[in-house]
Amino acid sequence: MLLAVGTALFLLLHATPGGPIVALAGEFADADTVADIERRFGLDRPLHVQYLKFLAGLARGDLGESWFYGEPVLQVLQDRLPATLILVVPSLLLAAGIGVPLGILAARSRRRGLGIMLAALLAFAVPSFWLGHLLRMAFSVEVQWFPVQGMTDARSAADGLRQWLDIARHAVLPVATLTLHQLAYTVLLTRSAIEVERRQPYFMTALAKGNGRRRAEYRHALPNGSPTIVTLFANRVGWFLAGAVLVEVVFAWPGFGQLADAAIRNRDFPLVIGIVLAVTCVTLLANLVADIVYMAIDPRILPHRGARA
Amino acid sequence: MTRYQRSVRAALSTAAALSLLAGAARAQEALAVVGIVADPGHFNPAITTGSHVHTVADSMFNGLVALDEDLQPVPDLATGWEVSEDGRTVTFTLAEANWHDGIPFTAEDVKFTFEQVLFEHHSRTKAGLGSVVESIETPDPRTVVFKLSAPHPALLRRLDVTEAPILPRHQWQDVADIPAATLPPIGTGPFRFESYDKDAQVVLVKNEDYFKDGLPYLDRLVFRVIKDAATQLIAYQQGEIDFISLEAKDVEAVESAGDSTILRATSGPGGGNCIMTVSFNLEREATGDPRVRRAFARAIDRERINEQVLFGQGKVAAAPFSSAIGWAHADGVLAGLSHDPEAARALLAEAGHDGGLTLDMVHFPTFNRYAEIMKQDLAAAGIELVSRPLDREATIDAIFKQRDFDTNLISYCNGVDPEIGIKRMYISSNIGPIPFSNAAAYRNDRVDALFAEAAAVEDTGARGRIYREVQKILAEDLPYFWLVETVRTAAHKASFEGFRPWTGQFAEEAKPVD
Repeated sequence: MLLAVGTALFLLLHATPGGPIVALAGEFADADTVADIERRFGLDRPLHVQYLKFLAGLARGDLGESWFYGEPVLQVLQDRLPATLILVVPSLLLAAGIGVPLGILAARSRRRGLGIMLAALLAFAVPSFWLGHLLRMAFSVEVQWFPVQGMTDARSAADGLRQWLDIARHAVLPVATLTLHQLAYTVLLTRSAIEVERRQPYFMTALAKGNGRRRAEYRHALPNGSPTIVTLFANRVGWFLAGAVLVEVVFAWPGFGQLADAAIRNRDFPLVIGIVLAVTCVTLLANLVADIVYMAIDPRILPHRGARA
Repeated sequence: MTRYQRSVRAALSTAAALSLLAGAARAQEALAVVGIVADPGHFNPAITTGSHVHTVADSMFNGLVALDEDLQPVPDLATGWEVSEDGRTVTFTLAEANWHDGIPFTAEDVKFTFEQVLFEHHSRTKAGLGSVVESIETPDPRTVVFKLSAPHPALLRRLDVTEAPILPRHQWQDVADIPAATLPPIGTGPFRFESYDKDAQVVLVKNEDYFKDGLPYLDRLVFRVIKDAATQLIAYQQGEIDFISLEAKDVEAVESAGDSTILRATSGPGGGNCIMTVSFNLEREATGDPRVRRAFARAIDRERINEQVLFGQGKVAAAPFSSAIGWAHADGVLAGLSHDPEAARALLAEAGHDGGLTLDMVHFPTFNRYAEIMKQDLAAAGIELVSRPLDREATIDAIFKQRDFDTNLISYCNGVDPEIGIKRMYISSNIGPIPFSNAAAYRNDRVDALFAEAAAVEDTGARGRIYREVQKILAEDLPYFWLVETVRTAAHKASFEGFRPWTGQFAEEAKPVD
């Protein structure tokens, strides 16, 4: 999988017009400088030689050096990972934690469901960068609760708990922006999954056995509907990270998203490949986690729990 | 109060408490936060001309000379200089300064930097001075002597911190691959390096040991990376940053808020005195025809571009060379190309395109507004302009490598001397895959000869006469069309003063207003 992604990417990048010259040498690079830079990164070698070298590196787990930063790609990625996790993990948890109950609620009654569904569809349709600007106009400009940009306050060098509070304060709007989209998706997803389950005979049976409606939904319908929800939620993670690129640029958040944006602009090929491979790994990992989660929650996979249903 | 209301209240007061706790700033420090649009990546200003590096790094280094507001050389690391009678020997007396690591700065640092770094890796200085400087001698630690192959009047203007920053020899002399090395920046400049968070911020602190007594005034200078221009503007308006480069369209809004000082300068780190210039691909049939180029020029209303794109902040180009280089600028030489759609139509018909003509124009997406107006103007004269916005690298590739364009739009920064930023556009030896060089593929032996002649004449008046002759020829041949001279606008909070936007060392004299 990684090999296929890596190869496709390598070819795509080398077909992209332009190189890293201006990012490195500035706008006045002469022929010598251009040749120097191409030699330094092996860009003067035939494409197949470059490709073999790339493959050899990949086999050793060596992604090479970022052309722009002059540091190992892995190092650059590691440095940025925490910033992105600070946005992504809370967003995913919030989306799941709020989205699933809302989805169940939407499945319960048609009247209330319609309102939730419309709101979710609307939120799903709004581009995240625009939503980011909107939230900022409301919460950073009109009422000045949260900062406009960045991960920390440029004027203070806080450490310890203060630093974390500073980061938290800066993270509120980007996390909210990022969450809303995934949240809307989760609501839509959960509603349709639960709706299917509610029509199953076992649901009626559960109600007839004297279970309350809430208990029937959470104990019976949700576990049965969850494989669909978990699968599609995990599949979305790739999309979610792509959304993070825009949100990070809008809020000047120094994570993977901004890194990807700059790496493409600067034609920093090793870094672009590193980022995409990292995202590929995360997506694969998310699907793996989804598979493990099935085992824990799907009554049909674990028979002794299924017997209770 | 419902449960819902209570929880919202609780959330809000938590947020407010967080703000208070986290907002505890350094109270007494003189600190300025500067918004920048690109991550510098590294801090070695001697190996690149890129403005993303110079904007930050120049504050940590010095050149031999600095440039004043009129772009005239004034002392920096060199406290004085003397040019010999024949113009071929320039002797600099050096200041007593220390590097940020405490080691004294000497003439050997200057020699090393020029010979091993600038002439090898700083493309503008390498092209401009590499062949002019025959040798650099260091008779004593406080004296540097440049021996030139011919008098070079532009020399002093090419030695400021952007063109020729001086590096410490003791840090770099044993480095095998200088452009690939990432070493912590050690300079002589007003600010020392403190920290760098990629894509977030660079923090510099006051150099207490700076060789210019009393400077700098700021204790701390923070460069905050904010790539999105709209975000940067809001951050400025909300007081999160103190200094911002402004787009022309935002000047009025910032100015009318009343809490800012607007700065206008024709130059800045990474280049200056820029002219928005259309290049015609002379190798293509349609644009190879001078009548078509003339028609194109006369169809365009440059006044309107200045009004609607630059909001009146720039000015219509009166000559191929920037008016900021007054002694070389041939004022009025483009007067014959005033806006006249009728004349444009007639010229097109004469060239056999009375049925209309379609031309494409390659440009950066940031120039979309220019393209829109040009499209309208050209349509009125019977030329359909197809705009092809491409990102920076793809633009360079299309124009200078593939030569896949009819016309293109580039901001050519003229620099402080025609030798530096102008010659590159016109001399025939620059035809080829060199970014931002002779995009038109213009070849005129007379022009080549005149540029060579001007480079070797010492007297400014005489050089000016030669350059004015060049511009007459250019206005006639029209390989390019010069639209508007742009101005760099920046703003800082009125609580500061002393920023100097025309130089790389823009914060050396900046300070809070008492």
